[in-house]
Amino acid sequence: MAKQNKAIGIDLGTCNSCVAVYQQKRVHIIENEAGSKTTPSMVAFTSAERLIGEAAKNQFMLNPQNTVFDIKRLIGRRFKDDTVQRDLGLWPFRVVRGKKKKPMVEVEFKGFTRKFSAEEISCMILWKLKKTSETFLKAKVRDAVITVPAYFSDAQRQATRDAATIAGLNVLQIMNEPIAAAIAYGLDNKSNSSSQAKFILVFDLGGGTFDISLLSIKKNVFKVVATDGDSHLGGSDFDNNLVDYCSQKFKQKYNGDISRNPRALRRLLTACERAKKCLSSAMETVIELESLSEDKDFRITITRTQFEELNMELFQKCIKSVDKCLAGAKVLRSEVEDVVLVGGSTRIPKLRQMIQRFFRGKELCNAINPDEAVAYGAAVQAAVLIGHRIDLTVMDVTPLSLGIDVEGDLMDVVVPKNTSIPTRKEVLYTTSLDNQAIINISVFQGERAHVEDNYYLGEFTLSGIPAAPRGEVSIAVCFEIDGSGILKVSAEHKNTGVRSEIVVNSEDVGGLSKEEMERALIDAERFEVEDEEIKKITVKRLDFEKYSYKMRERVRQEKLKGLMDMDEIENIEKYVKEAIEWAEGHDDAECEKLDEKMQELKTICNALVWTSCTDSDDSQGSHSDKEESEVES
Amino acid sequence: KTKSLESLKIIARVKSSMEEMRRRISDPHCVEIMRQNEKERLKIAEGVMSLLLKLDEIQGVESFVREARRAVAHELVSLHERVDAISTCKSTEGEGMEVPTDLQTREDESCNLGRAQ
Repeated sequence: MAKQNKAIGIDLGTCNSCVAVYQQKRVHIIENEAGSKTTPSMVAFTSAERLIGEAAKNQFMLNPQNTVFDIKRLIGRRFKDDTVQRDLGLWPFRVVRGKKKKPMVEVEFKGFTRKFSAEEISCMILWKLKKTSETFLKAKVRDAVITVPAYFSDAQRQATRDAATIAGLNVLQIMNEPIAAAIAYGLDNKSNSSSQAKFILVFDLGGGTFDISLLSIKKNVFKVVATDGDSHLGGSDFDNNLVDYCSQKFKQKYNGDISRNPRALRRLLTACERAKKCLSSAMETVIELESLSEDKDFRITITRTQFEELNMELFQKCIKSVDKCLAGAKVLRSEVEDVVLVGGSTRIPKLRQMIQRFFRGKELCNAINPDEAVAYGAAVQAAVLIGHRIDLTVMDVTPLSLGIDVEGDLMDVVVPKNTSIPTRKEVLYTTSLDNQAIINISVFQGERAHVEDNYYLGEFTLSGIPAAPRGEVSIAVCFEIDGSGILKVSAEHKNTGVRSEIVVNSEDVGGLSKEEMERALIDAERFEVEDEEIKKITVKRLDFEKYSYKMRERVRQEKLKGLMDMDEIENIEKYVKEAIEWAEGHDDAECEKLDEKMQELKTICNALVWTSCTDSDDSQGSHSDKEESEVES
Repeated sequence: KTKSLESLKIIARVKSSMEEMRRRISDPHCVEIMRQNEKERLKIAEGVMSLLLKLDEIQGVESFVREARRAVAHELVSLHERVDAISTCKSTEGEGMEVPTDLQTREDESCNLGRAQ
């Protein structure tokens, strides 16, 4: 596809916005100039300039009256609307009544008092996102899909469309946010075979708003069945509850009041926000603020349970909304096929657990970053609308197994198929030759036993391994797949720290076309038995070879020691030599034959093993098992 | 250990930025600008605040790191008080005259603290 023919997807949010593009068979979330994947939906006016996004947010405390945010709460509404009147008191910037009963924000800009409509402010944010995308794509961007909440009225949608048009965007579609999220998870394709309508519930708990949407999908067509939620519920409410709790504790301990010390409150709020995020993965965290107020230090440990208790009422409120939404649509919770989580606050484990419990243990769609899911879906839709054939494998799991080649050209799987990503797996390998200084590692994708039947992804070498007998070197091979499906394979010699790595292009990892992917899976099934046999024989042959080499080495040692009968040793030596020659000449030996030969060799070498066992710590009894585990352990 | 070292480095960076702030607050010319222009004063206050937040960000500290952080945090809070003092004294000329001495004593205080750690 030509470079200039790119369409972006924009999630124009109340607090934060996000922009994404579909290219090279996957969705890229575009980072802004500050390296962040979401951009604050904020515009600031100063005596010298206009600031948008991060820059506006950074100077908010210096210039609150002229920093405009939450503009999504105003767009397409009339000044007299109840919601507008209610929100007015919450903003530090002025909102006045303009022409045609429109609300206008009034700011000081370059020394003049200026009025801007919500469309104009939104336009500035959209323009900024457009610029961000153009920097990333190194090309002009015109076409875009823009998302809006499912409950947006025609007027609000039209106003959003107007804002985009002024920003120089050609709006391909104004799309519902929950539908975009559902598309991000590929739920549109999942259902195309059945003619029965299916229900999907999208649970969107963002920075400041909470939206529940019940969607139905029939033959690839989505419909919004019902919506519910709370226009003023979000992540900051959880932070505030934690702040209140901490203030109380501070009061108990020092009898001091933080609530009248705005700076202390700000420090506490920042720390609480961080603690909240931390508690999504950790079970407890510490808030530690020195000289917080009246030169008193504040230190408190917050456990996840405490955090959950503090916010339980809000969590329950969320679940009640889900219940209400379903009841309103007369849909049973068992009828809901998929539940999609959107918005940063859906990372809270308790909330996830409560949602899951409400839907009787249903697996939730949460593999895509919840802050980005809407933009992700919008980007997919945008690509579809400009005529891309979407071969999108929703990269929430690895579609095929990933592994490396080991002795005997076998595929050794490191990351099994259907492993959810991001993921990190480390396996220890060892050398197959004595004094091997270089290891060549080839990376493959597929389900077959022999690497040659799988898809080759790339290879790299690890050199500088110190001399050591085969099997005694420990090499850690690590597979790391990030959230966007980029695979990094590294190898490290454990003792010296010698390291080497390869980054496998994401196009290659997720880049197999649907047909190729299906073929790989069908082949895997068809050749399952055959592959199993190949694997078994190869492992047996390798065991046999390894055993004979090891015996040859032992014979040499025994000869030097001179403790055993010379004739006996030479006899064994002859057998071992024959065995090695036989193995080299019989690549295609069958399982039974190998077993037989192994048994024979073992019987003969028994005498040798027995005597050497007494003065060696190397246990030979479970030899073949041990060798195998060295390769794979 | 490397983590503690990293934390100490951050604290050292914050401390040197703080010294720069302190210089500005001690400069009569800068103080005059701040007194006349509320925005300028806010800018300095914000600067001090951002340093404080940077300190607070350091997680899981050992006791000796905590001591170092406490000393700097304490100084930053007293800097805040000094910045606030600049605005409160703009109402009357008479009170304004007293500020320099007030600033002087405060500065001595914080200098002592600086050495104490």
